[in-house]
Amino acid sequence: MKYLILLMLFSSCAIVHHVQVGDIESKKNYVRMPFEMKVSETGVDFREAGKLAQVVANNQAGNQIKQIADIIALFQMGPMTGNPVFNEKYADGLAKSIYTKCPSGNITGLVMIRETAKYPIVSGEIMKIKGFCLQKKTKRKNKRKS
Amino acid sequence: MKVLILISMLFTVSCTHLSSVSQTSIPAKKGKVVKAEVDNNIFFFFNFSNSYLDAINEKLALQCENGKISGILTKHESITYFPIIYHKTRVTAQGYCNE
Repeated sequence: MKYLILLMLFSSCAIVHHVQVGDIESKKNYVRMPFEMKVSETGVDFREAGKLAQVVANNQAGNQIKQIADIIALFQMGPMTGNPVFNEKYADGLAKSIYTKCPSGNITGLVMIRETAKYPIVSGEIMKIKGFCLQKKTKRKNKRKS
Repeated sequence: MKVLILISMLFTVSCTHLSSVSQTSIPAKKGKVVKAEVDNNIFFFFNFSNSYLDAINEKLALQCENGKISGILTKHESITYFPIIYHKTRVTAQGYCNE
């Protein structure tokens, strides 16, 4: 039983929570240049940590750790995706930083992906934005050799 | 025999879960409908990458080269074909192309 729990705890997984595709615009004489950016923060699964402690530590200590983990988990209520993180503002600057990828501001076709890269106890809480930056086509001049 | 029937029933049930939905502004003048779909097969809950999502934007954009796609409805579904053994996640985006 112990080995089964340990095996389950040491698995990893990529989970998608939300996908959103935005309007896509195409203009004549413009090319779509794809860009991608990502921010992430470490999440912690306290319940899983408690379970692991129960398996690894002796019975009394394991139970105490599990009780603490349960109390912490009680304070994290409400709808959420993924595991709780310590910095809830990690994705606030994402909209601003899109302009570093596309300074012209001709941004279209934004796809927002919210995903979790899950590992034992910890997880990567990821926000990924993909899109197109519209750039003017440059005309090639064919110079003839005289 | 009863147990066998019960187990076979359990493993042949399937269901679909809707994980998320989003909708962008719908245009007054609706053009032709364009649709793109990407999916990912998952066996025994093992899924190590979500890169299958990367193609959806390009797939949709290619269907409306000289216009604007708006009113995009995005659906993210999880489908269970055989519990525990085989799942599929599917993302569908459907919108209107105004050229």
